[in-house]
Amino acid sequence: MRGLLERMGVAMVAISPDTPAELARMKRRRNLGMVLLSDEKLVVADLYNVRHDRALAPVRGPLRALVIPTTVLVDGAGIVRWTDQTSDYRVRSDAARVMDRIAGALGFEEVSR
Amino acid sequence: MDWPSATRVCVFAFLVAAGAWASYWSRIKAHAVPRRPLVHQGAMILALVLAASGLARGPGWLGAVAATGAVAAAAVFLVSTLTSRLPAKPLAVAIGQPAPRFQATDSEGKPFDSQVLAGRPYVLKFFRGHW
Repeated sequence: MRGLLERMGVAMVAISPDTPAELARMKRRRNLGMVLLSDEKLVVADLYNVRHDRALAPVRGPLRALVIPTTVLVDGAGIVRWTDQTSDYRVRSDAARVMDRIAGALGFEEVSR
Repeated sequence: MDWPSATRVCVFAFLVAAGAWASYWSRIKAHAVPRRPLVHQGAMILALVLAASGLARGPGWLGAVAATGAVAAAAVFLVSTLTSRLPAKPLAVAIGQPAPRFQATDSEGKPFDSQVLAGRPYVLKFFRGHW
């Protein structure tokens, strides 16, 4: 997916409530090339209104504030072109569908096929 | 093996719970988790009923261990899948509107300002991280 984004000139930035050290470990372990950002106090999450209060967090303990998994596509002019949000944290976005939406929003041909 | 029937029921309960978990795990790995995992939830409820039935009949230590494992596996599954819906909140950004500028810290501990992305399209992905 990242390769397709790169071909379209799209940067990938992922942000979570994890600490920078936790993100660094994840980046190393999964060999991730994208920018990973720490938003421990959920300031950016609140800016986008994606805070999930009192989430059931088995590792960190229950009733912790997390985020609602959300994808936002911003074009080169800084304008929001597409958004996607799940209603169930178990269900992930379909990568092919996401890529098609991104390509479509930026005026590229569909790329998943 | 010549186990007492109560032990057999408890072991069967454990196998049902473990099998359902294994099946569900394979769906996770394939990024194909069902939105409503009714079959898996049904299997877990069956495992709970079997475990309770076996425990009530005095299954011995092996049965007790198997039943406890079945109950734990089923309980974790049912709680996590029955509470996985997320709150419906309107996004604070709208399509066609400017994306807000933000600051955060990168994985090396350095400050990051979204201004560095100006002029280039980007995907901002909010994820739950370690939770």
